[in-house]
Amino acid sequence: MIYLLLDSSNTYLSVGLVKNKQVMDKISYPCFQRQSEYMVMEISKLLKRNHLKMKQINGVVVSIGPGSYTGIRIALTIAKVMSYALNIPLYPLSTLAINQIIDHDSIVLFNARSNRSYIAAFSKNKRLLKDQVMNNDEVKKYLVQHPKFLLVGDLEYLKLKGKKVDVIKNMSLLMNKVKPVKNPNLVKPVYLKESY
Amino acid sequence: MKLHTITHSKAETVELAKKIGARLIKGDILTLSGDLGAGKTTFVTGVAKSLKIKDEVISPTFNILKCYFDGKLPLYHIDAYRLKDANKDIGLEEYIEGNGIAIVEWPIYIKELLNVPHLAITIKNKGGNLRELTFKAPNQYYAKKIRGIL
Repeated sequence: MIYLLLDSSNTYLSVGLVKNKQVMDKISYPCFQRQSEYMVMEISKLLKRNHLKMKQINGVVVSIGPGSYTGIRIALTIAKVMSYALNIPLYPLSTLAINQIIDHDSIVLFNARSNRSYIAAFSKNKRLLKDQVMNNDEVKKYLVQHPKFLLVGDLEYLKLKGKKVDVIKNMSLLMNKVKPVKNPNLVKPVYLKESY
Repeated sequence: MKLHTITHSKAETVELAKKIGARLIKGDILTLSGDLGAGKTTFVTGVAKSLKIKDEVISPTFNILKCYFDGKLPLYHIDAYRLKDANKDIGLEEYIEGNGIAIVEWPIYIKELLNVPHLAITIKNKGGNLRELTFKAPNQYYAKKIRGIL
């Protein structure tokens, strides 16, 4: 079984191929605010260099937020179109979950702007804090309360340094824990913020 | 801090904007207010030149947002005119608080997204090629961006 993995929910553009539960190839690089220009091209490149045709893909795995407003829509739109056109299942994953450090205690953070963060915490593969938007003052308190947790994310905005994880590897592990959605057309990006 | 100046030609407005542009860094936010034809886009052209952006600057009235990635820093040019009475929930905060410089035309229509300190510029057409530019800096940080230039 061959799966295509897509993530463009933050500063990176990542595409990967999983065959028999193993990552067979991936492309991943910083591409903030430009993923819309490159993602389709990178999928083609990845398929071509692995001598695969679009029709051979058995399912698509995608991160659906919370994260960049446009970013989460890019990968999800591509995933939905592929799911519809090829009639294959779609597996949605939380952006924060795919950034955790598996088998460790970790807090995943991303800039939600206006002095807020997207945050989630994981303790050895178990979820400790659900995906949410948190004021940065609260975030700092939470970090003090959890000193042994490893931090993940581009944390320059908090003047902190976060670890970078292999998102594709994580997606390949976490996809085994989720079921495909019943109706891929109804999957919505998870933005978590209030509307203006 | 509030400062005024007069420019006598388009070229002079561009030169002024170039000088201010040279002092801008990642995360800086400018707003531009003024009627149609006041010279808002001309001002943005000057900032773009200081960033060594080669693309021609055009007003993103239809597109709302235009990004220039080919310069020293990303330049995000937002025109909020069409967001009057519209859904503003389109992710603009990632550009206003983004990885480059944000310039917002018609800021009154996205006030909700501009609760962060920024340099507010107003351009008035005083007839012919005369333009009056008013700069309002909310803090020392932005005051330094214009001090000694005007």
